[in-house]
Amino acid sequence: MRVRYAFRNLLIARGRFIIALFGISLAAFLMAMQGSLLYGFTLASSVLVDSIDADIWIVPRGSAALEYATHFDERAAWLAHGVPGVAATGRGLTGQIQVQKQNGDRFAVFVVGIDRDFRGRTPDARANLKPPATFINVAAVNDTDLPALGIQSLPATVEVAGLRVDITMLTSGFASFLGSPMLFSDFAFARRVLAGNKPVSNFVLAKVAPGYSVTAVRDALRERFSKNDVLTKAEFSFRCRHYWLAQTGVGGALLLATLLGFLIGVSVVAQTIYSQTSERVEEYATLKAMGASNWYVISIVLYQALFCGAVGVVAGLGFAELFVNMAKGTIGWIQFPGWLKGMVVAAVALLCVVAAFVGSRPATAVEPARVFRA
Amino acid sequence: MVAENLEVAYGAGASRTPALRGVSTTLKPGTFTLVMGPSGSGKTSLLTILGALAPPDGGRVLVDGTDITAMSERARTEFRRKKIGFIFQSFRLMTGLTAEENVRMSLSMRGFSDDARLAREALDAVGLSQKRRLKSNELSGGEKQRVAIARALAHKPPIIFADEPTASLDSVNGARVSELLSNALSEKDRLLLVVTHDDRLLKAANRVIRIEDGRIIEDILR
Repeated sequence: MRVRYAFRNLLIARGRFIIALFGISLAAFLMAMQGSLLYGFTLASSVLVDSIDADIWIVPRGSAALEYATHFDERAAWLAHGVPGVAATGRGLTGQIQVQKQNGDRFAVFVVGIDRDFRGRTPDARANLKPPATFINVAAVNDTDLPALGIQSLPATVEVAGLRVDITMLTSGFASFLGSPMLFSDFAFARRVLAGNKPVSNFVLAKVAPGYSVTAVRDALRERFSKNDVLTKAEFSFRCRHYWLAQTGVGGALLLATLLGFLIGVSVVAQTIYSQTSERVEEYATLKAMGASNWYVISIVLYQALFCGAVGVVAGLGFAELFVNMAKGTIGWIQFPGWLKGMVVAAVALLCVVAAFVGSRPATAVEPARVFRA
Repeated sequence: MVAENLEVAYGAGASRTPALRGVSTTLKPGTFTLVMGPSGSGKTSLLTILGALAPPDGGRVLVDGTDITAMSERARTEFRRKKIGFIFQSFRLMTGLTAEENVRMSLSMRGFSDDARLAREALDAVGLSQKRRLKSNELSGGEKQRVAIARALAHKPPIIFADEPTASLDSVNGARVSELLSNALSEKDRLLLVVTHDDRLLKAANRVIRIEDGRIIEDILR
């Protein structure tokens, strides 16, 4: 019966109900959007490290992230191969360079070149070619980056450092958060345009032989390459994420915005529930005089808040889904997974509980003896 | 129910005003007691203390030998929930609920699982079975008070306290409420105490306590 009473109380004060719904919808929307940005950014900040098929990374000492790894002698790859437990080694080069679009405009891209056996989930444009196609330099780009490159259909040609490159393959899941589309080519092409064909790379990759511990091989490589950072895939992935999220302040800003969404929701809903409860304080006094415990009274207010929360979160998540889909055109790395929706629902439930405890204050504080004041 | 030397005062310092000055009385089951007196005489203060809604400044109230004035707030709340039915001057129904839902809420709050059946029986007893689906704002004053009586009696409490139950009603409805209160005594060992100015209730009562300036000045058994 208290559920029915709580629901009727909401319907009696429809204006306040709508305000509470608006507050919760806004809070759910903000939390979902900021959460989507945060999660997408987290994945995007280490997407290359997570996608490349290597157990161990050797990078120049102090490389904060893959994007900031400087060049070093590629002989490290051959030297690493001699360390016990290393099954295979490879090289990789990444870096920004300007491309000339078909219309003549210049635009920065992030060239990625990795030895073929280590490409993992990154695209391999040359392997994707179907005979009788004959292109000299081929590359793949993320599907969301086509407009930025001024490309309408494939194959399309761009000019990189005076070389013609044919974009022959589209991929997905590699939208760049730096604003420079990733251009996946082969290692030789990357070395040519990024290092002038010098024998350098900016990361060396190693696969561990079966039966060997990754950490043990990493430690052995650390001894061999004392002037470099030798990290497992998980360690380097964490380092990249930590840099982009914590050291640049992006993660803090997104987290703060998520928290603000939560606080906006709490304040709007608590204020609304507080007003609703204050208006019905005589009824709560009557219930308490009749023997209702404070918990019984709080539970009525909690039901009201949860009703508002249930409707508000559906609306908020619906809007967020719509906006995330719309935003994918410009923010290709935004992600809105199911578990994040679950977290928003849990956060809204928490928000409602907090708001109910704040908003039920007039009802719990009222003296039951006031029932005899006419 | 035994009240011993009850003292209640409001305010502080020089403006402190006594409302009850050493009130003592014994209320026995099966009696319909009226408490009468002018405004400000202490009637409502007495009802507040006997109804376990607040502790007195002095004295105690024993119910079946238990001192309810020494109880914690939580224990007093439980005591009210289990032992007392209240009827108020201004009805105090839940505005969003129907007549039946008002009675059901009182029952479900007290843990009755068959609240729907008991509520219908209680409303039937006060002649409102036809109006059980009306919301409280769709009922007349007399009907509201009858719902309030049904609500107070539905869980069959041993103690009923009523505060000016006929004050807001016309003579016809006042008489009807008076009759319903008398019928409430049909429950074995029930104690009924009504605070009122209304002489019409005198016919139904078998004891009248008159209070003035916080003291009992007359206690008549009829």
